[in-house]
Amino acid sequence: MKFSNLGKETPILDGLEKVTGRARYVPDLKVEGMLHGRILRSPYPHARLKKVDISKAERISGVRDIITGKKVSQHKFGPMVPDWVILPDDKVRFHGDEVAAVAATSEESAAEALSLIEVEYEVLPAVFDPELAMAEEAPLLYEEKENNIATTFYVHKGDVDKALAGSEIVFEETYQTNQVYQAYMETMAAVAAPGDYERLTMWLSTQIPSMSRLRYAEALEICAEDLRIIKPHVGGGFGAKFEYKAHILAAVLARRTGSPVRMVNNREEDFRAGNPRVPMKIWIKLGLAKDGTLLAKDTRIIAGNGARTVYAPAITSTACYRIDSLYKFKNVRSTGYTVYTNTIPTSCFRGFGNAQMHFAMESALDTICHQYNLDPIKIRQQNGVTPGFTSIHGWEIKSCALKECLDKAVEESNWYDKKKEPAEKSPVKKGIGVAICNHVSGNRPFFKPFDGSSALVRLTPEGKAIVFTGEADIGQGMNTAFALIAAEAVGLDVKNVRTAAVDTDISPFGLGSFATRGTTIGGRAVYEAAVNLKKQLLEHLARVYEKKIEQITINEGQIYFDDQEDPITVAKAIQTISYTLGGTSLVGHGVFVPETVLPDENKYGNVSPAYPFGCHIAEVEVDTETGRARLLNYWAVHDVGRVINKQTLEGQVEGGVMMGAGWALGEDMVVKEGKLLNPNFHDYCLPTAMDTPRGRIYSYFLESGDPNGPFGAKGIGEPSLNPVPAAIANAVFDAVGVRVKNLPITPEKILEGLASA
Amino acid sequence: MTWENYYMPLTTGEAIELLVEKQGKARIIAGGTDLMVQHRSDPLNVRALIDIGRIPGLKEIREDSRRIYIGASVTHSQIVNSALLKKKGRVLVEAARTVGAPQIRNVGTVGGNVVNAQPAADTAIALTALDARIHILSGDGEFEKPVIDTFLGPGKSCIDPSKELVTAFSYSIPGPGERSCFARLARRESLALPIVNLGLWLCLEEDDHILKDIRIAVGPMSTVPFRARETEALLKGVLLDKAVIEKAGRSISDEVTPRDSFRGSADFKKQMIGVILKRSLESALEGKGVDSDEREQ
Repeated sequence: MKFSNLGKETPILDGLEKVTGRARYVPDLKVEGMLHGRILRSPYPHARLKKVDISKAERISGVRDIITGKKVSQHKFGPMVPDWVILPDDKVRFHGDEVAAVAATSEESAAEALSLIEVEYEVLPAVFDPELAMAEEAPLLYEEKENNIATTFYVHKGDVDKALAGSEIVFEETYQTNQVYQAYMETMAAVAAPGDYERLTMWLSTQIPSMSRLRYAEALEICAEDLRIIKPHVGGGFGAKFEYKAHILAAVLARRTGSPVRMVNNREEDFRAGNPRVPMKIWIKLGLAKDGTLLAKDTRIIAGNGARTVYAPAITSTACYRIDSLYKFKNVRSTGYTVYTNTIPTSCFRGFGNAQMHFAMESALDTICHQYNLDPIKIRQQNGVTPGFTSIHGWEIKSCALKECLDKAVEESNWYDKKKEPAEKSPVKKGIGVAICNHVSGNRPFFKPFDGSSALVRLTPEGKAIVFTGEADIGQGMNTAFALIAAEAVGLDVKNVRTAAVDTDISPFGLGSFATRGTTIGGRAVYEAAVNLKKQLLEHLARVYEKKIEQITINEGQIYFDDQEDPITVAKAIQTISYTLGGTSLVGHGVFVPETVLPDENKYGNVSPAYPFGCHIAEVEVDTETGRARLLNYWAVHDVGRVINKQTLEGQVEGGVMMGAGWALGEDMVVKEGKLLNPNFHDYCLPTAMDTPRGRIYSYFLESGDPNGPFGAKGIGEPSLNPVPAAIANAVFDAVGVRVKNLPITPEKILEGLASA
Repeated sequence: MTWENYYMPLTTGEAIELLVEKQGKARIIAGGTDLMVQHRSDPLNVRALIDIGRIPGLKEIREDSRRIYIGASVTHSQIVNSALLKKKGRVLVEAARTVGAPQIRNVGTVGGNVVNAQPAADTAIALTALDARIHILSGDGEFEKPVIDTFLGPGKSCIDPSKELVTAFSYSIPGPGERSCFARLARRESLALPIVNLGLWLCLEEDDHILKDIRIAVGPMSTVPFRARETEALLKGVLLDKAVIEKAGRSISDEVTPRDSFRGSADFKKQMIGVILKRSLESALEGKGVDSDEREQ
């Protein structure tokens, strides 16, 4: 297929305003009469609130309102489990839990008021480790939650015990993944302003404008239609920016004071009370035939939910069974416990549990290959899913270039030559490791009522097109991808197409940015809207210019009639058409509802319209005296269905690889007795530009052309990270023979491994 | 902001006059990269700040016939880019290069790094290895002392920035056989405090590998930048060969008393200081880090 707009390196359309600092994010907003909100957070991981005295704080000049648990409704709500209240009046459950909130005319007044709120705490026994929290004697966070278990997930297909008994190779191991922080550039932020008709407008830094509207209406006990959400530019999310307590507190304070209220986390509170990654302890048992055929997989996961439920239960279930559709399994069993602890509530982080399980599964396969002399490339090609395959959970793999991804990565990295190289004589050893991945592009069970998207594309009388979507660009370049899709489908130049900021008063409902669904599902709705617009445009062209539709071609903003030498521009034509229609714009409307289903009680059913795949190969060097591992080169090959924008794909892959490398090689939220010890970028060590591979990150995109995606496109956001920790762990093992099973792979762990070898 | 006035004197004399006049209610500020961060969590209790960034003499790197002088408000970037120091102060150049990120190095000064008195301040470690002296001006006049004597504890310097002004650091121009180098390990390649760091200065007998003299400064191995004198003693007058280098690595691991922190356990730091000493000695032996004019530029 030949495309005018797709497959090129198109800079994001809002790039200039972002790099010049003109782009406005929520913290930049200034609304007339705006108050500054601040939150008082608990200094204890678990404590009863005996008394919260605001009398001194109220006397500070500029303080307009202070709310505590006693002053607000105690009804329960929450994204998955109703264990949220606006502010608690009984107890706090983590170091950083919200105790009170202040609105004042300046940040200084708000801060001073916070320091004068007197809270009498009765410190309660606390529990921090999910496994210990399940013990009989552990203190309970919620009286009604036995053993602190928030949710349990269980699935069993085939007969795992029988398959394991019949396996020539049986391998069993426990892996641990730690808690890490998404480290988006813009911290959690909201501005809430009371408006006309008793409505409330909220400018949010969010991935889910439409869904948060529903949830916040529930929290505020108002009709969702009375809440208007606007999502301007967003400085990254990576999964963290879903429903958030501070947003709700801003709304409550705005409604009580009648004034706009700004609530923006400082970096420390964003660390202490954001939505970091769900830590997991993963026990895995695999059964294989002697030739490497996978026969059975048995897993048990204990996942940390933190002190209240955000999305950890869904993340645990994803860890339990999504990877079962990467390989042709016939027998699988998985149990996952999501457990309350007196720690920061955990939630989505690029990979959504699948990344955690990829570390376990892909590390395990590597060890098996080493122990039984199997080829780590061939075992993946032999067991990996193929086009047309329906997985054990009923997931329909339509497009799949997994095998080709492996071939390409092997070829580009010179895998087999590198494997043959003799070990270095110096203390610094080189190693190479492989891991593959799958993911979804949309996840039917995430929002129970439906999955799908709708879009509008409006062609203005000036010949410019505007895409309206409820899906959220949070910096990943989705708005540019949508513009490219619309331009391609209509026949416009992308320079004349833009995507509007999400405003729930104007934009269609969109579930938002998660499950790597934006390009595939949102993009398909945009495609349908553009096709619909083109149909209308052709009809009007035929009418106004007295042609037959078959005589008309539209390409790159030019309209060609087959009986006319020179084309006319779309701009000129649409102006003419618009004058015959009372000056209106043409509006294309598109809907995409994928043929996915809610899984049945045994978790059977196709959840996503398309499944992306990839293969990563990491090359590292490990200093055997200092224990430090460094990336040398990295090859990432992804089946993206179709390349919409090569530049943003590369950006996603390079970002995903470095985010995964940061996690694998050092990022860690160090918590002692429930208190985070490194809540800043000084002590929480993200990789810097200097920590990127000494060589480079090579990215390649294979186009399998998915029947559901727009022009065949599938997602990239999460698959770019999923295999990274395992690929690096496997490369470290190849370099020095040390298998690190609990992330991160620190110098200490490598040295310990070398010492005990 | 707590202060009422912000002064930018043009001479050291004016700066001292201001300090005397404010009677302890003013303090010196240089790059502010530490001070402003500290101020945010623990507000400064002063009426005035005296910014020494406009005093020309304090921004100079120069040499006379015997010593090299580095002005107190010389930035880390100036050190990194100094042709003189690249030739005659390698340990300091290498140390300054590892501090923070370019933005911090462009603003943060060597004087600030020393007065801030962190046990692993990179340039403080380098200056300690060079046996540098610190030149101080107060209302009572000018005096100098060894840099190492200014460190009293973590974040505690004997220099009182409400009474005294550091004007410069100085050390002897390296002679024949003298070499120096700097090494550190950190959690990442840039913008990180060191897990361990080490400044090494040594002087070899001409034409062989016998160590005439050596200074080893390390951090964060104590509450202040630490001279590993036991290990130095072990190496003085000895032929530097592989076996001696191994022994030196073990010796310094035993000598230091670091603390556990989330940047690394005490045991890990002990082990690592041995590794970087070993590697620094090896590189000195290979002729890297040569300081004096014998080194080809």
